[in-house]
Amino acid sequence: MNPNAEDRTQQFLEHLDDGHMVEADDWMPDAYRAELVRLIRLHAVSEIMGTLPEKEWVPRAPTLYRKLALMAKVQDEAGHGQLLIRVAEDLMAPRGQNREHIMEDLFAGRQKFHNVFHLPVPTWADAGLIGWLVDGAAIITQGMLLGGSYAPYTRALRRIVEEEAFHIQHGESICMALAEGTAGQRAMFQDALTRWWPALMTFFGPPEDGTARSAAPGAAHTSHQAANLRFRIRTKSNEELRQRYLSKYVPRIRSLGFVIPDPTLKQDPTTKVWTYQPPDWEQWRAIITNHGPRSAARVNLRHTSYAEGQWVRDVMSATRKAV
Amino acid sequence: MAVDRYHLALTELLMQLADDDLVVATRAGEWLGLAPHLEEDVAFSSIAQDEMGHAATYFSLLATIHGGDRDDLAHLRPTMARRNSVMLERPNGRGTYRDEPHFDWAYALARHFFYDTLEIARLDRLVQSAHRPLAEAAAKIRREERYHSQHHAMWLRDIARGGAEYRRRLQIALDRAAADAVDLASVGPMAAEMETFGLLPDASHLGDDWRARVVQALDPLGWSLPPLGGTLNGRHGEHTQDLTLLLRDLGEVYRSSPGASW
Amino acid sequence: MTTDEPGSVADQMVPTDQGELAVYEVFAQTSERGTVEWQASLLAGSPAMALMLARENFLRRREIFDLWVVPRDAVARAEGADELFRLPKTYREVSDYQYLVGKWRQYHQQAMTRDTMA
Repeated sequence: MNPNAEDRTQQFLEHLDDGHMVEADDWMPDAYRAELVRLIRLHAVSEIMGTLPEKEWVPRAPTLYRKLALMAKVQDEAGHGQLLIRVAEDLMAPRGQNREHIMEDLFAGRQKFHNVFHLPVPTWADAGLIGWLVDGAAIITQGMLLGGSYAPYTRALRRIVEEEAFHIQHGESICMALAEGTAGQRAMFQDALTRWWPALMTFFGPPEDGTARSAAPGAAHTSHQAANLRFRIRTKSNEELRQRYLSKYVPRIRSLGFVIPDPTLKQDPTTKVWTYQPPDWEQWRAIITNHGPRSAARVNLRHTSYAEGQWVRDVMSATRKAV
Repeated sequence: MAVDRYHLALTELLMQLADDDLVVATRAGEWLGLAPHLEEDVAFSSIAQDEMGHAATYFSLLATIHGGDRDDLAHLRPTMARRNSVMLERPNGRGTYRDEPHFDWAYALARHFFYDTLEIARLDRLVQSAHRPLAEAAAKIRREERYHSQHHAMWLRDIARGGAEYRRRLQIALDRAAADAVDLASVGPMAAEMETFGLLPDASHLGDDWRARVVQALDPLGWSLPPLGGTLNGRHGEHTQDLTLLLRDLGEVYRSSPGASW
Repeated sequence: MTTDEPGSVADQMVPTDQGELAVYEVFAQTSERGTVEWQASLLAGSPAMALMLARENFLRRREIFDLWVVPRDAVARAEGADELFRLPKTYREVSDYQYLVGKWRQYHQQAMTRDTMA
């Protein structure tokens, strides 16, 4: 880095520290751009891949009302993917890249997506649980990211968070009906909760105290976290988010009479800090590197349909050239 | 006696309307997350939702006429009790929405273009229906259908302009959709009663009207309406195995715990 | 097909050429965290002139973070409200789920009572 660039970076950081925002056309350090691209691509692809587990339940949703609401919810997820991929594309444009590169990376196993979307969804309770507890986790992350420094991302997030309010209530509504339903319906939800709890505990990523830094990928994750905090791309640590999540959702889950499969889980009455059984971070790493139970199948769904749709995108380019 | 025939004809008509929309909405919903272009995924999903919403409206009307619950009517009736057109129950392509979805966008467009053209011709009549609640619902639904016809018109136009290869692809899709469409514009064994009672005014010209609208749209773009085919008539309750599989999915959870609240 | 291409009707509405000048639509972002929003329209001979005129005509009392001018004839417009109509879809509105607030309150109370008893 030449001294000039170093000065510029210093000025840029001061600008951020003063609480200012960055726009797509503003000068930004390469590292800032790289962190943004990494984070927003991950977010966008997670939304896009996140449509697939839930869409499995659209035809099978039990009533016409639930079918409609779930369609609307999955549509919103696709819409969030669209908003985010546009933000990512504008950041990637100086490198001559666009969404096609993101998709190619996804198909080649070079693009990660969120751990929860690698998992199977065997029952209707899974669809409800995703809406309530996975989207509940997502809104905590996204609410935190709203305070970020990159203005185009925060604009997209504002729209997203507004729609997520419906998603969570839609999920709560499904889960509440199961909780108040027959013994079979209650058992269905308890089973889903037992299966999903470990994934929910890893949702926010490893803590930054080093307890999860046994392997290189975790260390890399932690350094991204530090960089993102410095650039005010994020404003809270993984563990802070997890603590907030537990405070919000554990009492609610328990109030419905369901059992969280972690006998050690408890909140200190004075410090309000939750202690819990440390999740299996090795397994989490395996999942986010596309070795989860449904990783290959989901990528294949996307890949197959993408290939079948190539001629349609060719028509769109032909139309553009003709105009 | 006349009252009974009236009631039967109205029930038949509402079943056709409800079943058509339920099945087409389900097939359209299978495209979620799999459409050829991200922005189109969201736009096409609105069409699926609109159609499902129309199905819910028709099933509610049916429930008041026929008795029972709209979700029972939508989820529990067996294949042979269904009145949708056979074209609408066909899969979106090879594979399924859960595995190897080799879906055909040209077929989706061809099918939706045929169906939405029928819907508008049908709704233009239903707004005059002697059954007032149906006429009122039809007036609202017809306004929403405008987006659908514009959507398909836009795609057909762009594909027509795109080049010979794409035009050929769409003609193949039109041929495939038409091969199952012989029952599409028919209204089944009670057509005469539907017309006499004013439930579906001018029911006897619905087919000609549909054909004229389709040809008028396709002709300037260089496509022709293929001969309509099919040995099954959905309006008589004749269906393919495809519908049985679709219905199995549709009612899987609902049937799992009869009487439960979801 | 019953409709024309989107945008074609715009040409039949208000002329976009006013003599030698053109109509520009003006958009501005007036807060650092805000979005670009439509402000007003003006007549100008070039995009550069439109930018110059826009800031003092419409935003002289506002802080400006971004400013766009778009020639009106570059805008593709929908035909109108009838084309854009859609039926209410309450299943995707939070208002349909308001009953949950009362339910959560009830379950929270029950849990508190249970804890007190224990």
